[in-house]
Amino acid sequence: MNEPQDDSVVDLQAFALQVRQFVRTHLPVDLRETVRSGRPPEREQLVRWNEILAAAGWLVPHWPSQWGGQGWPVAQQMVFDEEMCLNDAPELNSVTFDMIGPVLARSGSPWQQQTFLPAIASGRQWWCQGYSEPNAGSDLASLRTRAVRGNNDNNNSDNDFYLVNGSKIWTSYAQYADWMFCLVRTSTEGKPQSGISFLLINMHSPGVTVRPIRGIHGWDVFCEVFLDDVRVPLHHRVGQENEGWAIAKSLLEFERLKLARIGENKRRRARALAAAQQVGALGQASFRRRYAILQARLLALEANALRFIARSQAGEKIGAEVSMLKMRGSRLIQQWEELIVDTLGAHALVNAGDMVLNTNFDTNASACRFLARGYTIAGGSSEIQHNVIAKQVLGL
Amino acid sequence: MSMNSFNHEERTMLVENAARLLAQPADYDRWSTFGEMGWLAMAMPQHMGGLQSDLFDICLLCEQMGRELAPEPYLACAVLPGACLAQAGAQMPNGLADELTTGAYQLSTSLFNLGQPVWPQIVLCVAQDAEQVWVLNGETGLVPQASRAKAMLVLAQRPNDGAGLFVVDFNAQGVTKEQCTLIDGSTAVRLRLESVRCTVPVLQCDAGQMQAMLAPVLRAGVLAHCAFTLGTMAKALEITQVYLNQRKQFGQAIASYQTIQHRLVDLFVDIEEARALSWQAALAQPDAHRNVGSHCNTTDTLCSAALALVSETAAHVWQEALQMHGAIGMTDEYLLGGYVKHLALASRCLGNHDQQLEHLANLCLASHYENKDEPIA
Repeated sequence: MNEPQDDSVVDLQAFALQVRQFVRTHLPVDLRETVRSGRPPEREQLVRWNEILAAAGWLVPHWPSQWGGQGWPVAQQMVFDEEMCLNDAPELNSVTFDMIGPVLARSGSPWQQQTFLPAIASGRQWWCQGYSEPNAGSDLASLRTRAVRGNNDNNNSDNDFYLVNGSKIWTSYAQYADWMFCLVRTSTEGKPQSGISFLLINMHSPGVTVRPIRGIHGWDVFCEVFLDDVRVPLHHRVGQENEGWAIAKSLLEFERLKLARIGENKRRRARALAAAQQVGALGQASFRRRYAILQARLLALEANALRFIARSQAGEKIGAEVSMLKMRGSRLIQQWEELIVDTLGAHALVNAGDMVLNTNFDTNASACRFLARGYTIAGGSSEIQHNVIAKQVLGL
Repeated sequence: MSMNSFNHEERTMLVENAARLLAQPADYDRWSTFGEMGWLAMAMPQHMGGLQSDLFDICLLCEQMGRELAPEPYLACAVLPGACLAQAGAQMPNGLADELTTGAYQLSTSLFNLGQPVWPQIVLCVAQDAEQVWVLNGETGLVPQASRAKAMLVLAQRPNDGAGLFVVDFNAQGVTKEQCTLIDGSTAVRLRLESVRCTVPVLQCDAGQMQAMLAPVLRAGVLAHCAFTLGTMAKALEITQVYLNQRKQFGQAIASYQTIQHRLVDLFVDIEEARALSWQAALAQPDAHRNVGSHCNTTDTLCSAALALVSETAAHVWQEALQMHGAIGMTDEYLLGGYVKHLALASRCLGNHDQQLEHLANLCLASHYENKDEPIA
């Protein structure tokens, strides 16, 4: 509950300025324009930016120092994220940098760590997350993609492999990915959770087919991934066989405080203000009141996140109540997006690229708004977050 | 201004003692007991024998009072006058400062008016007569929780000149007191002043400094109000959860139904967020720009946002708590009734939702008018 010391405030301010200047100087112009106009960046654009950050030591600051981490306190990480967002840098691929990287650093074999962590930290290797299946969404443990052991050479167990068959769906950016971490069923005995293993699958392997799914926003973000007789070497399994569920869950524990998405919320707040300035709505009561209540909710979200950070820095174990940050941070992004669309009026209802109105307006506002609906669905839907808090916090 | 900050153990003790004392029925005059506990001294400045506690500690105490719906006028007659007197240069007539901290003398202020935003303040007229005596005229707003006070600190201004806070004794010549009962059973009074002669103001300033002088006072009052309301909301949610675990329909406790569980979670998270924001506002040092990189996290913004969010949440909590209870929630005799009525009052007593949001919008959007040509963010 203590105030931060004065010197740490000054340090963070200086750091924020440093990040701001860096992003403004080094963010490629084409990428900045893509982000500003609310369009999805290409893989090539994102990888170029990853490499620029990697060269500065800022791509994986939250990793263990052995693998390139900077040992920043959480508050500094938040300042970094915020400055990136407010200066039009794209959201970094969290599946790659916040999920699989930290999982491998903690639970990967030495071979896995040495093979993958430097490649990820270089910014060039792209990962996707093979979790959801057509009949396994929120009820993830009912997944059916099978992995069966096989061997080409009975005399040499080094040649053991898994033969994987099944399909994944809603796999974000699978078409960009070099690798997929994937939950597969290796046993049908016992509880559904106890027969799952965690595999690392090369997306360029024979038998892997990716089919992008056009979203309502007009972008190909999600994909179907078909796995037909895909051979995965045994040493590509993380953890023990049939013990993948614990690893899948532990992955959700990294960067939980980031799930408040405060930087992403502030990016939307800035866009709402810009939209209001463009259409002259800053003085209109309806805009002002909606802006004010969202601002109050954003300040509350931030205050709440700071409280969790203070607890975690004091060495306290954070429980299931942290789910509230994800629940509220994702909802608030959607509320900002709705304010932007309403403020722009007709400008937000015309298809991007089909502009009959002033071209300076944010014509991708509706696409961004549709894209933001995913925040309350992916990574544990808001309904699941409610269940978690009801059961584990309120004891219902 | 030196502050007396409680350490962790003192805070725990404050909260535990308050919970214990306040849980007992308030069927005797507890005001002097509040004085014995030291609570009446917490907002008072050290040069008047007060503790001048951190606002955060005062808020912790208010939250406990809110949980038990303490009827005592702690906000109106301890926090607000204490914060006024803590301003530099403030002076009370001899002996009265001691009586304030013991509880022998109850003093209210004209600063919070029923249903009115804290800005703009109602300012009465004052003039000095030929013998240099201060003479007040005008009418205060409807002041909650002031009916048992002996006097009120009234904000008044000379035409085009300085302003001040004057002690107006309820029994002074020219003072008429009107009183009404509010929806939760508490009271409010309005004073009508006709040529009321006063002693020198306890605090005065130039006309242009009034806003700066009152800012910390109103901030303390608003956040104490938020804390009290947070306590009431939290207890209302607990009462609801206990009831929903007992009440059975279709053969099982209604708290076992998912639709009820999710609504309870929403209330729980609403309250947690409103508390986090209120505590941050109470802990913020005046004018310190926290949270680097954002553009409007001043103390005033945090305070205004806390009030808007707490008020919205209070309305949501009483409506949902009542609905989930069912018909019993409509019953005056049942425990929840007092909480419903107080929350309904608390969510509107410092202005309605639109007024509170407009105040916040003014603070947040002002800079964008000044720097229209500057790129945002």
